[in-house]
Amino acid sequence: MIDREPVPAGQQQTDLFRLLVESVKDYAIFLLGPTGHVMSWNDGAQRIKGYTRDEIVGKHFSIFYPPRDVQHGKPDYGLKTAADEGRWQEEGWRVRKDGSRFWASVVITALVDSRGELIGFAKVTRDLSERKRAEEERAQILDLEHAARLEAERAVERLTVIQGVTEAALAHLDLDALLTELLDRIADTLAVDTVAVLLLEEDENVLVARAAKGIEEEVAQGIRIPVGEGFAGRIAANRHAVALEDVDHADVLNPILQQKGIKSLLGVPLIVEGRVLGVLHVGSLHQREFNAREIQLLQIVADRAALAIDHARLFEAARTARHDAVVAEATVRARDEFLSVAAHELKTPLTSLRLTAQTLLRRIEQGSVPDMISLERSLRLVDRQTDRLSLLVTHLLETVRLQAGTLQLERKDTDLVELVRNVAEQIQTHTDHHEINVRAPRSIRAAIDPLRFEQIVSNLLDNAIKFSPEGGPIDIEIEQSTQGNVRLSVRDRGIGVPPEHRAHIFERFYQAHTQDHRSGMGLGLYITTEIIEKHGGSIRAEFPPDAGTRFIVEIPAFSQESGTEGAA
Amino acid sequence: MSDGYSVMVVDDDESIREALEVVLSDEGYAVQLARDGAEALRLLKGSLPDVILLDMKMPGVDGWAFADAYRSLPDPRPPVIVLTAAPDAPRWAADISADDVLAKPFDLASLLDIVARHTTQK
Repeated sequence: MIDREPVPAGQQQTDLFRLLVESVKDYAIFLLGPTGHVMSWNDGAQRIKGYTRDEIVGKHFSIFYPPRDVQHGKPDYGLKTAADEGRWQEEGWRVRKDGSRFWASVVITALVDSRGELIGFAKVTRDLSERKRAEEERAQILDLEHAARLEAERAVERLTVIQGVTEAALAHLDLDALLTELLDRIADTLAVDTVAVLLLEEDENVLVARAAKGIEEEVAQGIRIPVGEGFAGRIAANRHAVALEDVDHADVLNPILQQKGIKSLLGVPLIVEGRVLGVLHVGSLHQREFNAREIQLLQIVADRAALAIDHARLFEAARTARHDAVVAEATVRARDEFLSVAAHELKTPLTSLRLTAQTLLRRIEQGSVPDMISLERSLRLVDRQTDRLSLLVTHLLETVRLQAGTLQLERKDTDLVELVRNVAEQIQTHTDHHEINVRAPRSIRAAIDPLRFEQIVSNLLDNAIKFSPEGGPIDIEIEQSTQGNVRLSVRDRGIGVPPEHRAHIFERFYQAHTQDHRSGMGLGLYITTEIIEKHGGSIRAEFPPDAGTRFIVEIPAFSQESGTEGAA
Repeated sequence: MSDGYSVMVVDDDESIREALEVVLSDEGYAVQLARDGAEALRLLKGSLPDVILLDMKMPGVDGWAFADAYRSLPDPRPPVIVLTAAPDAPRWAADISADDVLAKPFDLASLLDIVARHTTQK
């Protein structure tokens, strides 16, 4: 063993050099004998490794290595490499006297004498713990940065999806348009083959397919899933996501999903303010495991979608309410107009009745006896005006009854030809400048309400007379048409109906000729139409190019039900 | 009674025309009947009545259209009394600057009174 090396040059220089080595504090610099035993020690070695010179000199240098490295023969490998190649260098864990580890940079250099014989090794060790820690921290920071970037990317992806859903929600207040766009976006975002929205019908507690992409049959077939049952039903009942990796071996109720060859499904509830609106589910045609991130993303989308669906529904409700209000307002306005027209119509015959009655009274008061001719004239006027008033009142009552739904038909087996001829004859007596012609076979029998049918015929004839003030022919035809129907037509040669009014003439209170102040309440055609419809028939109007109007009524000769038909 | 005054009745309702004709001729008025504004304007070209009883709502030339044409006729023009079943009869009369108004259904006394007033005022 060599404790002190022989000094080749001057003693003083050698001492100085030893002092230099021994006092270096940042490096452990020491000698190992050829077998690896510690031969010298310096201040740096003591500081770094914790041993004093007396404790360590003579010990094998493997004491500085972690036991695992010793087991693997690392110290001997280092020495052998240094001996063979002159030098061995590495960075690695070393152990201090107190057992703690530090990261070290180690260089072992072989020392040979002038004859080339190995006399030992110079070992220089540096404590790199600080650097190592810094490096590790940097790596950690890099890892964190990477994770943060990934998270940011996911957040951006999520935001993009949310933005897409929000845009769709803002762009569409119509529920169907909204759902169509939502499904497209979801299919794109999650790269799935099918998307479906089922909405809850609260009164029945079932989910009903409302919109679908890739599985449109769901909506077309009106698939209904009870809440609590099957895939979608469980999602709605438990209010949380369900992912099915293998649809073929799951309790999926909807047969379409399997028919379509869907292998994996992911569904989430649509919830707004704690209310379950329905279920959103996506499907894949190949088996696929939906990961936590995808489940979370679909839930985020579903939350936005639910809000949008809720808004669209509220908007629809508001729109319906607004529409109802407009209709109600129009109805009130029409009724007010009707009342004003009705009052006007009633006042006219009342005026002539009153004048006539008061004139007769006045003559009697004045002691003059009216002559028979003027008396007859007055009484005829009274008779006509009371007829007119009675018709107006009848129309008013019929309208009220039709509106209340209390008008009942009393069907009887009737000869329609005879009925039409009778009405025509009676109405002919009211006019001398119209010629009413009836074309009909000998007899047509039908099960109708004869009083109501008379009303139809007389309303149509009254109309024909009223709207052909210059007179002329009025043609009535009645015939047995196809499929057991009876066809009645009434044609006048009058003023017709201007094209802009033609679509409305069957409406209640509608008067095509209000501008002209032609008298009437606009009830005749309305009542006629209602009675015809109660008979299961229909009415339409034609406007022949030469003049006037032709109304055509078709009713079944025999109704499906026999006897009395109830109201609505 | 009426000292041979003449009255023109313009109304599309036949029963009103007939009743007024009976009433007024009983009172000694000469009565002219027109079923709308157009017919009234035609009759006015022949001879002027002392007073005109005018309905407003008539097919074709109605009360308003008649009044427009009537105002362009040379003076002297006989007074116009509006007869109407409309709820806002006074406003309609004011619309055409009528001299008076009778809301239907009016009674015989008011009619005779108003006609007499406008014929004797002349």
